[in-house]
Amino acid sequence: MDFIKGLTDRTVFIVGSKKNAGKTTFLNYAMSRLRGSTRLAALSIGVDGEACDQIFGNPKPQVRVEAGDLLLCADTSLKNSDLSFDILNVYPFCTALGRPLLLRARRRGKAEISGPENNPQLAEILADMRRHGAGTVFIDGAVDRITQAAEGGNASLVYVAKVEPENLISSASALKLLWAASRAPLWKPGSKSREPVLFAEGALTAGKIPPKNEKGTLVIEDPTKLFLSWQEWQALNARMDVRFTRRPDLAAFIVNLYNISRADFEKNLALPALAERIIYNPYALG
Amino acid sequence: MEKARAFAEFEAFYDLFRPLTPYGRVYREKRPFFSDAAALKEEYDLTAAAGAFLAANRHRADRLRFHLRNLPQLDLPAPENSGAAGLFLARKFLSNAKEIFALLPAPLRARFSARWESSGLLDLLDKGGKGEAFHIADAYCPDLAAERARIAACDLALKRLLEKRHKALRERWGLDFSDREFLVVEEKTAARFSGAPELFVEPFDAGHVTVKPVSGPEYMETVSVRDRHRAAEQELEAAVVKKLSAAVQAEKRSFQAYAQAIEKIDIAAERARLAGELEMTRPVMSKRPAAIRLVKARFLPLEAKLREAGLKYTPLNADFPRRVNIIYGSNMGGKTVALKTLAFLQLAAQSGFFVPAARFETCLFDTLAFIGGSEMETAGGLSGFGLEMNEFSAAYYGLRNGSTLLLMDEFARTTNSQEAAALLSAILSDLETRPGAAAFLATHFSGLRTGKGSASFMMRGFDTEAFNKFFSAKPACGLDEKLRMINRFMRYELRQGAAGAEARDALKIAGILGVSKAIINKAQDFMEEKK
Repeated sequence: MDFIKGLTDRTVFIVGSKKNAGKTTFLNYAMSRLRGSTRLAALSIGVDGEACDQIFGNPKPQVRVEAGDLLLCADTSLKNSDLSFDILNVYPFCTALGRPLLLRARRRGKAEISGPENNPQLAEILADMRRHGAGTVFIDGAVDRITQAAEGGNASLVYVAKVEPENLISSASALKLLWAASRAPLWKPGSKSREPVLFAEGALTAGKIPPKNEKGTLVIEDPTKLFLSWQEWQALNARMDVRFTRRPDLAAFIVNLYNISRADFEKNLALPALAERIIYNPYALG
Repeated sequence: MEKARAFAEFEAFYDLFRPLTPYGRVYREKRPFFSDAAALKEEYDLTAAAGAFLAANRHRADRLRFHLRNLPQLDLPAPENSGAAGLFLARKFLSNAKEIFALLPAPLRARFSARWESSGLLDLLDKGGKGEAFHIADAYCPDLAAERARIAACDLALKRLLEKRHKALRERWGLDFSDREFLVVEEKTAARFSGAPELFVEPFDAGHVTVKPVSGPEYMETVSVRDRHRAAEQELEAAVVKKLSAAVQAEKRSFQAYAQAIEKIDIAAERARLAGELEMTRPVMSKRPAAIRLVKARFLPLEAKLREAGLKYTPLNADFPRRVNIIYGSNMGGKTVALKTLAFLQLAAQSGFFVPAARFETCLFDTLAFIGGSEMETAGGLSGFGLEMNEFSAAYYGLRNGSTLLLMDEFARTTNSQEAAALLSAILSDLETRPGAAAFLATHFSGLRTGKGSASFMMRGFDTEAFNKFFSAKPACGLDEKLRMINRFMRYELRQGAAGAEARDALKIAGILGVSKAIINKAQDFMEEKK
């Protein structure tokens, strides 16, 4: 689990394969591992309606905090909170959960973290957290907000997948796609590219793949804009050079297996190089 | 008015107007247009005063902008709805307001009605603050400190109990819970935990269980004690919040006065910044009707475009002693730009800004109306001509309600020249009799018949002599070069007393823009024949 130490002083996006994939549980684990070596900060992004913990179906796990941790919380969530805090900022915008506050915990406790609703707000909050001394900032949720922070060049991505028999094939496909995309070269203006160079605006879905007779280079904004199956990605790569204009560092794949053995999952994955990069259930014994 | 704003490309300038406080931004969105002389004078006075202060105190100016930028919007809720967040904002507002006021010299503070009288309240809120941070501090209530000390003791006890429990579990079962609240264990491995009272086991999936430490009665009892202290702490915190919120509420009027003063400071400082950066001067407003005079007036959007293209920009000098004015001139000779310059300066002046001119003398109007630019438009079944007539009618009948600066660019150009000239002559003659109107018409139609209340002007146009001297039959290549050439030899100067004059530059411009020499020569022959 040394990759966690590698997250020090980075902006870490924890994204899930689906709701209740185990993001917040991983967040608690990572914060616990890093605490003491750097000042920690946490916020979430997106109102995803997650109400339950993926492990037990219990109410969504709160973030465990220690004195000095920085957190973004909605004012409404503080009314019955256990938290004792300094308020460092009150933002002039409202989200569905209320007005976001930047807090510094004054003692150990639990908090329900909240987040902004758009990228400019996220940028403002991240800058504020850094100004108040945050080393590692964890962002729990919404994959579509990665790009903003990725531009700073200090963003890492942790992908958490919950794999069950009913989603085995699609989960393996999603993992392979993200892994392959994370290895695709970056495209820069003026760089040597196979002609013609085509640009995919926004999300790349199956319907927006260039026609089959089209060769050359396809430039996509970042891997989060990919909405293809593994097969579609392979077919596209076979005829075109796919490049990204930006790409966060993929720090780790966390896979929580349910009713599936590791051997069965890896057999389905059929990519030994990827299997080596996966961290299976960090809560498992041994 | 919107069409006049669009014609003057006023938004391009207004985008540069960026107040720093939420109050200034609300003011900005109102887009005020002053038609009251005293109110406008007050705006100019404040801008001038702010400008003089900021220019002479660069360091203080930076600090002032810092505090303006940091000032939050404060909506004071009723004490029962307030919370620590509201108190944080009140403190942040007061801290910044105090600094803003302190940075201004006393005479300037007086001009902005900036009177600081909340030292007591800020001192009270500062008990919970350090730097930017705020919390419900022990200093507000001795009982809070006691409850918090008890909670801290509980937390310490819980930490020790947990560490002790983890150590025992490590030693007895080899399970490490130091970074994890639970472990996932294979069912067969977990069989050995069966019946262990210090572990809680439940199914995870078909082959695994989750194992959690059982906290034990001492731990649970301490948690329960802590919960009671936490509840007491929350009650005490709520009482403190209520008391502080009531103190804030009691100074509601002061907060409102501060917000008004800060809005004025913010707006004046921002207008002064623009005046300094864009070399703008205070307009000279006279009682209407008054002559309009522009000295080295600059139409900022065009100046910026030409600067970007490396082309020379010629500021406008003009005296308009009469209320009704006709501007004749060549194609590309600057008639429209002259109108735009006037519209831009008048809009800026009546919006409270200084203006980009060495001097701008004018008077106040209740509104500005622009008619023109409708050649390609149709609306509600009206042609471009119909649309222009409709707009003119609206502006004309609007004169019953107040004064109007009427700007007409190539009005009626889409109809036949004989009828257009007759119509324009009649309109201009009529406007001469209406003291509420000041009219400016840029037109191609020569020889409009007007009365003594009108004045005619002509853009100087193309400098043929200079062009011939410099240009040795070398054709211009590319649109950029052609525009550069027209720009170089076009004299954007307004000359008075050109009634009935006709511009004769169209063929030269057409030639520069690439129309064949044969066609130009033929056209010149036709011109000669007509003579």
